[in-house]
Amino acid sequence: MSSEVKLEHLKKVFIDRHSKKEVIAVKDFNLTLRPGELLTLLGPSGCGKTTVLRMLAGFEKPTSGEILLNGEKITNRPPNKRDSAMVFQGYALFPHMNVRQNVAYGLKFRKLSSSEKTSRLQKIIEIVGLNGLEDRRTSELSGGQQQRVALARALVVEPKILLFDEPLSNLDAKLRETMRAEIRRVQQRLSITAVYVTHDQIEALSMSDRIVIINRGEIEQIGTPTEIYHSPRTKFVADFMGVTNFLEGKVESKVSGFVGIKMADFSLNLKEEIPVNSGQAVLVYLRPEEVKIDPASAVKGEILELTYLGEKFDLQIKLKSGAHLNIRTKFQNLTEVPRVGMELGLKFNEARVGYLEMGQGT
Amino acid sequence: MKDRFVGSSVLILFTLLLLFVVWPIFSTFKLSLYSEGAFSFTHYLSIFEKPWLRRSFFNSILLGTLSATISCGIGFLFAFLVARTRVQGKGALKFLATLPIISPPFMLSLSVILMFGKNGYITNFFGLENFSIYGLPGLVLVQCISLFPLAYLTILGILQGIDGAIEDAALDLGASRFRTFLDITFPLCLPGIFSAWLLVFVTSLADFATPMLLSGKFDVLSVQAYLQFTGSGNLPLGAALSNLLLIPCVGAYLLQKYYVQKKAVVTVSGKPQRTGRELTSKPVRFFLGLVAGSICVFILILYGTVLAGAFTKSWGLDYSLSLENFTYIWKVGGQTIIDTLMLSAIATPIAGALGLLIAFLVVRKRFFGRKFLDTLAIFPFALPGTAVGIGYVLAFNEAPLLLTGTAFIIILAFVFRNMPVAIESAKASLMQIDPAIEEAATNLGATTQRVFWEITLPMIKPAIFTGLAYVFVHCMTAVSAVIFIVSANWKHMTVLTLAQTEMLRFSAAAVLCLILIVLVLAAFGLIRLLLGRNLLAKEIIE
Repeated sequence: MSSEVKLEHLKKVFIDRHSKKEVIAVKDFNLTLRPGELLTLLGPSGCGKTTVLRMLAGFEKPTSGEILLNGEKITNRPPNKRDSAMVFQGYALFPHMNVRQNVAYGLKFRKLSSSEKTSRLQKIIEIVGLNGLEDRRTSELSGGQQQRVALARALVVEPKILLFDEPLSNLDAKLRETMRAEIRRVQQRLSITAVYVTHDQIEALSMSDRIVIINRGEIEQIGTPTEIYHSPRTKFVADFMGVTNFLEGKVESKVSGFVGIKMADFSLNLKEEIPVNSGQAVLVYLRPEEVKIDPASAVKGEILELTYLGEKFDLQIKLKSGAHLNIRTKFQNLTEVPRVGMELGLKFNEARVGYLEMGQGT
Repeated sequence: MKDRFVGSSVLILFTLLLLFVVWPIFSTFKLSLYSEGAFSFTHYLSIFEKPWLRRSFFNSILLGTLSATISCGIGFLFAFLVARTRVQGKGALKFLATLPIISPPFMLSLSVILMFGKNGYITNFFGLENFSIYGLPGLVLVQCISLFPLAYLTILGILQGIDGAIEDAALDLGASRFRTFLDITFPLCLPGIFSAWLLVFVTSLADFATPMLLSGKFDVLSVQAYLQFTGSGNLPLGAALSNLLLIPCVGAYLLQKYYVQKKAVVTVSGKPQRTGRELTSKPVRFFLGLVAGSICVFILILYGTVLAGAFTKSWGLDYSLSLENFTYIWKVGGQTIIDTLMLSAIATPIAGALGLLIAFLVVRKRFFGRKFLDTLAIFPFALPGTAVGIGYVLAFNEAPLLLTGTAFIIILAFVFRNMPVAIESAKASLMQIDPAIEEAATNLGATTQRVFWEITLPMIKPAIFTGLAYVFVHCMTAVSAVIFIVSANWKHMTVLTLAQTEMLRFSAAAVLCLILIVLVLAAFGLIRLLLGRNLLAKEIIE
């Protein structure tokens, strides 16, 4: 029942209204959505992720390339003839209709018996937890409830693809977490192929089967949340997923699946995830959480800044070479907290440190 | 110090408004409700006893209903084409849908007479002997052309306020473009359409210029009130007729302001993100464009006819090119043109300053009677000009407020009748400014006065200038109120236009219309220039 969606060499060029110049929003985009998976398009604003979504819905026509749904070309099909349903960023609820009318709207255009329509409506209202609110005006609902109406309205037509355009960006942090889990639960329960657009990494990591990182209209990396988080393929991906330290180094040794990399201030022995040759220049990336304070360590640095974050502290360290390193750490006792200007020994969790080839994307 | 300023301003404003808004209306009611020294409804009853007066009431309602309905249809068509389709020539549509707003009174009627009147070129060309444009058809035709811009602007505002994503959502769920229009776009526009309908209805009812020229045997209230009051000298009956006109106008205005607008706010929720998507197929778009295009062409012909009329020796008899009409108008109307300009130029800044003060007090200050001050100052907007004119004549005919025949009475009528425009534009602009910006200036050490002059005023300047332009235009094109209070010493161009038309000097009247348009456009150009320079200065600073 779940559907497969294929995007082949999808390209979208806009003409800027003022300068009349061409702006490439999406560049040669190739992607296959597996049946029943939730795939997230993640990237900074303006990267083209929403354009991809709107092309899937039929609101934008691709300049070139094809969209296939279960092997059938739907590239130029108008939005109302596609089996896709979208959950809009501002919900886009129909303000002159009540909850039931909103949810039932799409059923009008499906050839279904009225008993089937009623039972679908009831089932979906049940699933998203809107019981008892059917006759309310949408303006009388809270943000979370409006979100549920938008979700129910899209789900009730049992679309082949479910599209989410940053659906949680209007909610406060707490509600966002609840709705995240809710959307994931419903999507899995109905096993609908879904595309989810967001610029929030946590949202992407917590609910996706796979994540597509997009930068300037191009795919930087596709992978599961753990792959994306732990094995970024480009500096952009690493940066976007929260890496703040990048250090240049050189491969010095290669021994049984491990590579020794020498940097200006210290050396690390890392698992060889990307094949490299001895002497090759690489870029080592370190998350601030993977650096620990260890007085016994020979790697020393001076504290430039210290920021209190509640549970943790952010420290900016200046290494001997002059390079800066950001670290995030906990202290058991407040008495252990160092002061600016003090010298610290640093230890690295080598299992969690990675490297990239120098060159493209770095 | 600050409170004393607010207190004394409010006190002075209330006094002025009581004197120049409430007192004239009160005088009219007083006169119309007294007969032989006692309170009575005699004059009102007599209106409904005499068939020809009773008819004028129902005629006015009929005319208003027809004009409002057709105007809303045309207005919706134009607004829809502009906001929801990719039709060609949107610029022309936008321009021609707003042009009639600045055309002086009588102009379109005059043009229609030049085309379809007894000596009109259409009448002559087709040999329409038994055809008469005078009466309901002519009135509806002219009012629709001159009033549909009101409907267009109101509905356009609503359409542009509807988040395009809502329509996208309907399409996404499987609705066709036509269903989306029927289920989403149109229902969401309904409060706007209703609001526009009331606005046009009221304006049609209050319209004096069009029926004065074109009503023929189709009597309407505004003209009857004028004829009874000035022609027959039956002041109480004139006053009663004018009140009969005033009641539906004020009623419709209140309904519009307090009911429809509130509903509309609820409906248009959500921030507009994307402009609307194309909602028509090619053939539909072509057809709608053709209809709108034909209306545009007709509007252009109307304007062209007046232009031709102004340069024609004698319409219907001798169509040769001539400038005689201009020299004639300069001879008989030179002083009138100067009077009109002077009176408008004096009234405009006063209305602007008072309007700004009221807007500032209402938006930024808290004081007792704030809402009431606002309502009272905006109220003249709902009053038909006829009611204002009659009220001013009755209220200011005796010492110590003997103003009849002076320039003061005209200036005061201009100021208080047009102040609502200045207030509304200043208010809208002020409300958009976050008070935190002013607080920031205060916080940095600026006094209240300096905050106003250096922070608030520069930010709302464009709105003020636009407001001033409209006040000026309204003063220049006023007729329904001013016709009661002009005198041998102080004349108005529109009244002269009427006189020339009644003398069948159509070409001379056309010249006056043309001059009025040029003056009005010059005023707008001047404002644009002033604002443009202001913008330029800003760029240099940055």
